[in-house]
Amino acid sequence: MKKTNKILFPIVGFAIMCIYLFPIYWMVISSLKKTTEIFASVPTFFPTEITVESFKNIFSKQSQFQKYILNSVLISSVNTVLTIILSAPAAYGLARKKIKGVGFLIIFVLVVQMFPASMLASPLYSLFSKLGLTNSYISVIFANMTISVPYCIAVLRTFFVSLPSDLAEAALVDGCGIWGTFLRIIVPISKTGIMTCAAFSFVFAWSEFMYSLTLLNDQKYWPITLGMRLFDGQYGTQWGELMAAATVCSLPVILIFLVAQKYIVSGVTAGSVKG
Amino acid sequence: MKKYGSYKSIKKSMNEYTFILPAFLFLVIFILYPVLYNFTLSVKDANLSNFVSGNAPFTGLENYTKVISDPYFKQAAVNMLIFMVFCLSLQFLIGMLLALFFNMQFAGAKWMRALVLVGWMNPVIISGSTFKWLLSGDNGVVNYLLMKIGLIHSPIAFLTQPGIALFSVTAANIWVGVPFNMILLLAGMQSLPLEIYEAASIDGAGKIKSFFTITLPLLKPTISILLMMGIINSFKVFDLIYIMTKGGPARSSQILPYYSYELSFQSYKFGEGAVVSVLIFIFVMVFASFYLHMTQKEGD
Repeated sequence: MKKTNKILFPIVGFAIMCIYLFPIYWMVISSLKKTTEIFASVPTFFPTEITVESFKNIFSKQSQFQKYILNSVLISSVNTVLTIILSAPAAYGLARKKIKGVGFLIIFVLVVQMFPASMLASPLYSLFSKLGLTNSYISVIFANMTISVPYCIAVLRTFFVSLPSDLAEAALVDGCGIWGTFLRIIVPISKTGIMTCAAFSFVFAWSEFMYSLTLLNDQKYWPITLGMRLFDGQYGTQWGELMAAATVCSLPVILIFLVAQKYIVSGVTAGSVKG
Repeated sequence: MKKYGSYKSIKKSMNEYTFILPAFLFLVIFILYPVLYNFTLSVKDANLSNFVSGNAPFTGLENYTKVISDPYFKQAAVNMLIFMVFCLSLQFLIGMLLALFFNMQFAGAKWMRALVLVGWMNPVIISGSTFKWLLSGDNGVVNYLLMKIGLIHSPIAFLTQPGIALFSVTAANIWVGVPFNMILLLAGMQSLPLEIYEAASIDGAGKIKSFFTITLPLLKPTISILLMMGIINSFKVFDLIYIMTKGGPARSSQILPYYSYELSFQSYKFGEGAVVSVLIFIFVMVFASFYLHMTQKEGD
């Protein structure tokens, strides 16, 4: 690489990154501005006075914001645990190829992960209504799992296929049984794959909107994505509060991303469901 | 050994099925059954009072003729096409340029391109809210910047003017999808053998020439998969439109998934909403089969 490029390229790269991430920067600094500064005719690119006023407002007593966060944490965590419990063994079963019709089942999983939520929303609403489960955590958790279970089966299957098979065979000879081998040998050496899937399941559920919108009328079950809308009312938007809520809602996602960045990138290329 | 073999092997194969049974039971009940239910729902006059009980009267293809003759359906379909063409082409183009740039080994390239992914990972509801604020007609920073550099003289109503709202939503979705395109193209580029490029440069081929004669043809499988996935994923776009425009003004920024939601959950015409879902299902299945055909050829 030429000497000028050695200096120029990182600068250009950094500039591209800053331009691309500008919306996220704007979200964060808007949440730290005073209301008067937000509605000023000339926007400031850095707050003249940093204030946590908007954050105080969203966590005030009248607002149920804490409740929405707790709901989101509950829904996303249970979704993640159930998803892994269902999809890890299924992915292993498909990876072993010892059952009939395995090729068909793999294609089935790949196809159902392509189905959009808008297609399933009203039949799921009808199904959960019949079971008397609309306005419950369990309905929205199951609905979320329609996104994360097929994704995790697809990603974990390719992960399990790439594992050396002699380990599992040795354990089988030692009399572990298939389940014993799976739980004692396969799961421990597949920690990275499973953690990647867990991270994705959590983020999917944390970001989910449509199923919650159609299944949860009762505010007390609302996740943060639904609750946020209250700052974007019919009679004008409280931009400071909305951006503060958006910042709070992005925090866990960005945190998960920074911690598991390497695995996330591999998860994107392996599964690729979102657009 | 063989004597007990049959019993043992039956037990063993039963054991194999216990791995997949719970997950597939789940997928059948919560995905396959709802998909099939759309078909029954689409030939019934299902409304708010009879939707849950399930005894809506059978009306044959009436819902289909109603939907197809609905001008809003045509509008949503045309919008969908416009949305797809712009999203797919621009996400790909920008993604490709970024991939080519960040594929060069300069200091910081790795973490910079990884950080760009945050935009894609962030909940779409958040990105939508942020774009709504950026594009706001009164205090939006985009309007301010455009006026400052003299491109426009008065603020544009990006989200409340028919004919413009759809393009604002499209722009936001392009922003969301660019990192995804970039990462997949980068992964494709990194799997290409370096020797070909060395041979080409010895033959005197420049950077641009080797891009068109080597990189692009070799990336063809990745690109086709990316485009198929882009088409399928555009049927998943709902949150962004809901939060930015609610399909408005005057339904001008509705695309098919939003139209289906509006029929079912705003007008409570569940039968007609199911018709749109059936149509979306057919589209997705067509492109899914192309997609699977390609990935199978790739030797996944």
